Amino acid sequence: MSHESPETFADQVRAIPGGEHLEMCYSCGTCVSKCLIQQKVEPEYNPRRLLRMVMMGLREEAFRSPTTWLCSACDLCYPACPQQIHISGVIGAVKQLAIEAGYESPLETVSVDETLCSGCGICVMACPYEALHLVEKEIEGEMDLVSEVDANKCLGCGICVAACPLGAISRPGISNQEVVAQIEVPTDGAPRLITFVCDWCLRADDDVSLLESYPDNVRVIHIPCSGRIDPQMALLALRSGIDGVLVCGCAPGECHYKRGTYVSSCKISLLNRMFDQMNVGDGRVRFVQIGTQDRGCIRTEVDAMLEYLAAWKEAQ
Amino acid sequence: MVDAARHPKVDVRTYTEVERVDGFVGNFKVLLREKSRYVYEDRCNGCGDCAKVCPIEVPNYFEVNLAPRKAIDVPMSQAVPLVYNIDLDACIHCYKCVEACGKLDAIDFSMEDKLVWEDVGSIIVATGYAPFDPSVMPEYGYGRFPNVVTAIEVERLGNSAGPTAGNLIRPSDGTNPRRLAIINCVGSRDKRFNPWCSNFCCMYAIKNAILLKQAYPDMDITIYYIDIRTPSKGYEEFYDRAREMGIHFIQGRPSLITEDPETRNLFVHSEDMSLGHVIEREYDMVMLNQAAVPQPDVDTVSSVLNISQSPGGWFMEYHPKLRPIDSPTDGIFLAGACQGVKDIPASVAQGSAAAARAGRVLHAEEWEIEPAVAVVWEDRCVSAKGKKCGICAEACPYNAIEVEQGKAAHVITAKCHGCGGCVAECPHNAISQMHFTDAQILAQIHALLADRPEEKILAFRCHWCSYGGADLAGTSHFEYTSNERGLRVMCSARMDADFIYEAFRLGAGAVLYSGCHPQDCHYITGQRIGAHRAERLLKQFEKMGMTPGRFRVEWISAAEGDKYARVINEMQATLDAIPKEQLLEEIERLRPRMEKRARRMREVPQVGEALEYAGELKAAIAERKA
Amino acid sequence: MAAPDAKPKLAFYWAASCGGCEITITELGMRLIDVGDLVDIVFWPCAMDFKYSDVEALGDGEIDVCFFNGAIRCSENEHIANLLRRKSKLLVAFGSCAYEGCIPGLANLYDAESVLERVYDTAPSLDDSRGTRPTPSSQVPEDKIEIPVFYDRVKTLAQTVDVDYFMPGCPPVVDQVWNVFQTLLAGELPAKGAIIGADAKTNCDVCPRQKGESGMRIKEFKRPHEVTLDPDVCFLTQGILCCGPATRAGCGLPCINGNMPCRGCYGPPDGVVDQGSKLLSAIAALIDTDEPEELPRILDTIVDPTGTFYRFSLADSILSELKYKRG
Repeated sequence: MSHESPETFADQVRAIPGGEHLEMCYSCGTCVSKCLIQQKVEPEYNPRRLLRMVMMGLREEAFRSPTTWLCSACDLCYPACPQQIHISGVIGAVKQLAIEAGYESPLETVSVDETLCSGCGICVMACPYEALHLVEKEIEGEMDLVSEVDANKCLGCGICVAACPLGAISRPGISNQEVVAQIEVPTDGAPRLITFVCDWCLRADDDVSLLESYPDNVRVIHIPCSGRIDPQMALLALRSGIDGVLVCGCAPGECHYKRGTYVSSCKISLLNRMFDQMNVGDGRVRFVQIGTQDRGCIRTEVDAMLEYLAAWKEAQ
Repeated sequence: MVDAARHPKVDVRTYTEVERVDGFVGNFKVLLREKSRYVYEDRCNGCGDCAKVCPIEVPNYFEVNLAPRKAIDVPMSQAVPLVYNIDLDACIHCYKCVEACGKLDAIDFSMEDKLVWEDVGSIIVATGYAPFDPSVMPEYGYGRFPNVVTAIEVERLGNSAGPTAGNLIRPSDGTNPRRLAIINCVGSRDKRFNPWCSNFCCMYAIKNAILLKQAYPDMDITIYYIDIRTPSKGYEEFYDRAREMGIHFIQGRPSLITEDPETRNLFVHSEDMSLGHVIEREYDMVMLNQAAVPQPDVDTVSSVLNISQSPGGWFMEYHPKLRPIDSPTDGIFLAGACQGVKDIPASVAQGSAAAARAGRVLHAEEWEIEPAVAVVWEDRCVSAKGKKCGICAEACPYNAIEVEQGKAAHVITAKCHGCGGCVAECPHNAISQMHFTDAQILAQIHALLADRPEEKILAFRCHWCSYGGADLAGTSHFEYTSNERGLRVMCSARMDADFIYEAFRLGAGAVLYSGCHPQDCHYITGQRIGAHRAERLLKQFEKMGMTPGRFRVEWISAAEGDKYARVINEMQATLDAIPKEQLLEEIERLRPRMEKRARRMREVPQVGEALEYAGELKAAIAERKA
Repeated sequence: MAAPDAKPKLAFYWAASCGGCEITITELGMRLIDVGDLVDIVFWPCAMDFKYSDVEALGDGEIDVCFFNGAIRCSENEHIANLLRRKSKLLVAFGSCAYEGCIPGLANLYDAESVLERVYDTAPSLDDSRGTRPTPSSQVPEDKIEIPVFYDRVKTLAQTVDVDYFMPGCPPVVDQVWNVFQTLLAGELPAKGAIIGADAKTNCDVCPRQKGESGMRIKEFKRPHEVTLDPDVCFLTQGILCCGPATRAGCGLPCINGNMPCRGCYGPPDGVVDQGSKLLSAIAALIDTDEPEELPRILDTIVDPTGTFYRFSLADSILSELKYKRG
């Protein structure tokens, strides 16, 4: 028998930048409850257990684990980890090895309509995960530079969908047409509000059901990330007779898709600057950033918006 | 405390600070500031009439600000001595207290702090710990959510002498909580704040839970923990009792607390490790079992007493296993949590031990110290010739050297611990260290580099760390080049620049300058002196055009045998990478400059003889080889 | 399109515009003579002597194609637009002003009174203390004078009358004009409402500039005069706000080849309703910072966001609609 110890799975993970501090984990579970994926998407999601699988050499289990594929590297857990393990880095390392071993992401990803794509590269920059690249391809008989999705890297946040100037990118459920189709004007006379709410900013189930419990005049449109919002949607809503638009995203530094909340904040802020320039700036499109500890704040925000819109209608 | 105060041989000074400590083991002179209470200790009978009439209320530190105290008050009801004092910052000088005090005439607003010198033989430091302030951890909302409280707050709220007479209430609405969560390891075992385990909090959480469960049998109490640590006698049995009483234990460190803005109830988000599920449970109150941290003024205390700190700010013991009660300064002893977090039994044990160690000093006629102390060649000291110098005194980590212009520097032998920093720093070679004289060390350098010096790696190692590291490399069979030649001194502070110049003058291939990591230095700040010098040397050699890596500086602990071996092997690789002719050419080129720098070494008494002997040795080796 | 025995009748008109579109037509140069052989120009007030009455004298639908440039700014523009619509078989919104409002459309940032105040009172080049204002109707000794009413809002041609085709560009480039003439004269009519004389995709599709190593990550928006521009590198990479990503291709990139960023005159590509907000959405995704405090500072470097994102399309934007819907 050889005395050389073969490179273990844990060694391989540790060798990848980000995977270094794997063994420091003392299994306190902070990362598991800080993250929202288990609560909202996948009961089997558990970073602590994935780290354990790696330490114990359970290679196949780790590659098949939803944790490997669902982590969005939002790094909510990293600053909370008492052992200061860069957990998303470790998960990223496992994912890299899984991809090398031929495993594929089970997530639904965006797709590019290559006949529409102009190869401007905006989406490449917009993507928080480097999941899009420009490639030279033969499209309808001609060589053209177009964007291509790496399905193993895309997490489906939709920031690129909003950023694409040609509407060439989409994902089932959040395509431009599907989102715009949800902008219906309620018939009720009360202030008509559309709330675009990102899937992650409301931590408590209580808050989610509270939002659904508002009467018809408050329409709720769920989007994966506030970065998916396109200011054109807010304009279309206002044009169609909606009184106000409230966009809810994560607090700075807590965005599930890293940069979505910044992108969204830029968009709404620029839109409001233009409203001011046009002298139509009256606070009817708002962006609120909801932090992990802001339990119950959605009620305050929606109520404040409704009260404001009622007064605004009165003044009209 | 009352017993101590009554003991004829114990003099209790409360409300008193140590301002300065002079002298040495058995002969300390301590300057005390007895702070003014504005109340005469010998006249006040503790009746409290003054506090009753005082109109001013200020936050009560003892009650963690949960209750007020008066501007004239006692710090707590069991205070010893039971003497009132006035918080002059809050006092409005209405003098109602003076009136109330009446004939006792114990209050005097003109009183001032008193400074007194006391002679003592030994000193015991027992300054304790401070509770960690959890408001720096936003995730738990302490300071933001009123019903998130600290363990000390619960302690006061549950105490029959406390502000609520033992009625545990929610700060938000004064009701009794029905559901209480206790979160352990708040600020401990947390690299963001304090990496250490705070030792007693597991037991403390269980104690609080049991007491509260006894007082409120219907209360639902849950303890969130990472690990429950019950290592001492009877502890595990106590833990069992808590479980039997129906106290819940959830293994999972909460990541977040949220609050219902209306009910002010709290939601604790954690993983239940046994289930593998994230759980969000609602509580009426959450107790944060906060870490124990060093007192905020440890730096002042360590500089007044001249004792060092371990990483984190606990006072450092002389040796973690063999002399855990002694501080690095003879005659000063450590007791209790100031040396490291410990629970009551351990604190009592250490206190008793410290008393016994202190007693040894008090009873001794003479005191033995390590012999490797510094001595001054008085005829060489420039201070004796009326020049201003004092470099040796500045270098001494123990304030063991007194310099008075016109007199030679004087080493207080009892305070000297023998690091040798002053010896290496003295620009006039006017101090020597017993057992580590310049002559002895130079003779060793000559001997070690007697044969084919250009192939040798001369390694200066400090006794406590890098020497231990080299030793460990040997015992662990970590292989490193046989061209290494080790030379031990007590501390990197002793590694005189002249030794390095001399080594290179003799043609050493490479020189390692190694010692403790800064925080591990056995001689408080010795490593800092050494490190500073090493940096200067690195720059000098770089300017001279020496191949980088021929002079190397590394801090290696006694536990880093692997590092020692690696460093030496890397140095060998550096040497191997230089073509032989080039190396010899470089040695020749730099020799005159090294010679010039090391020249004055030869004036030091005994060095001449030592080198003569080394010369003979070298000749003998050459003869034998021939 | 025209009766076999008669040459097709063409009309050109110039409403609220700068005249650049007219110059483009003259830039056809010698080809204009060919056009003259093939068609009858029945109305072209800029180049030839016609009176409105000449148009009024024509029968309805007698003009085969009318190329209408300029936005609708005043009652006269509106009147002629209606007249030409009635007289023409095909009405083409020619150039950015007629298509989407263009630079005149930026006046929608202000109301009519503010515009007049600026032009007649506060412009630094003025020295007139009489407080002169154009009055729609005034009595002079000889007669009563009526001048067109200056509207509060600039409209596009399509917001005024029914338009058959749209031809973007400020001005449309001459080769595209020639293509359009040939296409229409050959009777190859695209579907009504089509954008003609342009491509479907955006300028980035044809732009030769390189994105550079680090790509288009923007920490500060710069203006062209503030930097030395690299002629081979994408403007956005250089921090210059270029409208190319959301602007229809077809111009042949004269600005970009002249080392100036695209300003967006060819309008939005297919499928985009509101060019400005779409451009905003794309540009916002390039802003590169993790510091929330940084964002306002970066956004401040976009001087005049409306004028930048909607430089040519404000009159045709939802933003304008919202403003004038409120009255």
